[in-house]
Amino acid sequence: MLRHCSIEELLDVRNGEGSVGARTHVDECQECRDELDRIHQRVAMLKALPSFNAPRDRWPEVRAGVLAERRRGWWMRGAWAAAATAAVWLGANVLIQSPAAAPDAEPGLQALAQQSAQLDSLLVVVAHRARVVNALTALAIVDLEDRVSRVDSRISVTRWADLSEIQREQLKLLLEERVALMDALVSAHAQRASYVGF
Amino acid sequence: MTITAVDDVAIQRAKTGDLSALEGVYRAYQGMVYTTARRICRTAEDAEDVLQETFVEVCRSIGGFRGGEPGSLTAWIKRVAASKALMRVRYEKYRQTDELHEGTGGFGGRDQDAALQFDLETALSRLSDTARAVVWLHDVEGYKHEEIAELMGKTVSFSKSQLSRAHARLRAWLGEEAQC
Repeated sequence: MLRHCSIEELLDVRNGEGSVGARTHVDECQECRDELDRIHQRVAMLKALPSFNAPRDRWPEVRAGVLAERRRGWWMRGAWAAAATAAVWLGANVLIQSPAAAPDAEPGLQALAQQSAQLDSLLVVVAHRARVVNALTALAIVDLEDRVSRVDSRISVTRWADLSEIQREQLKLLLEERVALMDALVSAHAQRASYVGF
Repeated sequence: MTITAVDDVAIQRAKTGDLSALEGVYRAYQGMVYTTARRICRTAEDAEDVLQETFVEVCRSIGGFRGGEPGSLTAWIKRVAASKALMRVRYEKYRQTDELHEGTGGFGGRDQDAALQFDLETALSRLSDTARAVVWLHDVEGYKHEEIAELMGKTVSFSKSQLSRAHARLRAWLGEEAQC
């Protein structure tokens, strides 16, 4: 090798991967040996740099994130059960009810139930994609999940057959509230998913 | 870097999701993770976020950790941290151009006297995020180019070229003699 080694060639020699020509040249060339020594010294200096201590204890946030994920796991199972119950009831109830009893209510309830089920499906997708939990976002998500759970529990204890006009209106309000909360929940997860999946 | 040993019993408890055991893992490894993150990321805030994200991932996935050899938990956690830090660096690249940052250092051979005043710490921080990550992972953490390429989603030659460019810049910025 007539020329001096490049830094890349010297780094290869250092790693024991250099070509025969490069290794032979380093053996015979004082300048390249000096350069290789400088690389060794630089790496030794890098290894000797001090370590850092995190300025704040992040365990509380980590713990909150872990608990939020566990809770979300439980919640997702509960939400699926509630959503399935609601969908079965609505499907059956809307078919059974006489159109004359509440001519305008069924399409509204049906649409809300359908929208709610779509958001349930969407949530499963975005919640699976987003894996990093920011403590504040996690707390917001937990709050939304709790509120959806409360709405679900009220929906699930509703007597599905022979609803009066008032009960039907109350159910509609509950479903509207559930759709709004689910929409916010999906948005919160989608925001995290877009951040993680850049 | 001193790491407080986490015994096998504590690891087994952590794998079952025991929060106090998981906290023990966090306490033992937080310094190592934060240092790796701090060296790769641009800011202390980013490094803190990486610290948090790393341990949420560790707590989530430790149940599936199967390493039985001494040091394997350390290597696994370090790899999670490197992966999270690189992910953060990629995200930051959307907000500022890597090369632009490197070019604005202002002393790349222009003023040798000034360059001599910069220490290694400063010179390291002047490298592009990618180059700094490669230098740190390869020269300090002992990763091979193949492993870095896999972590970064790049080729081995990309990792090698980043390393040699970084060394060339460090040499110039630190005012070392140019021979070859």
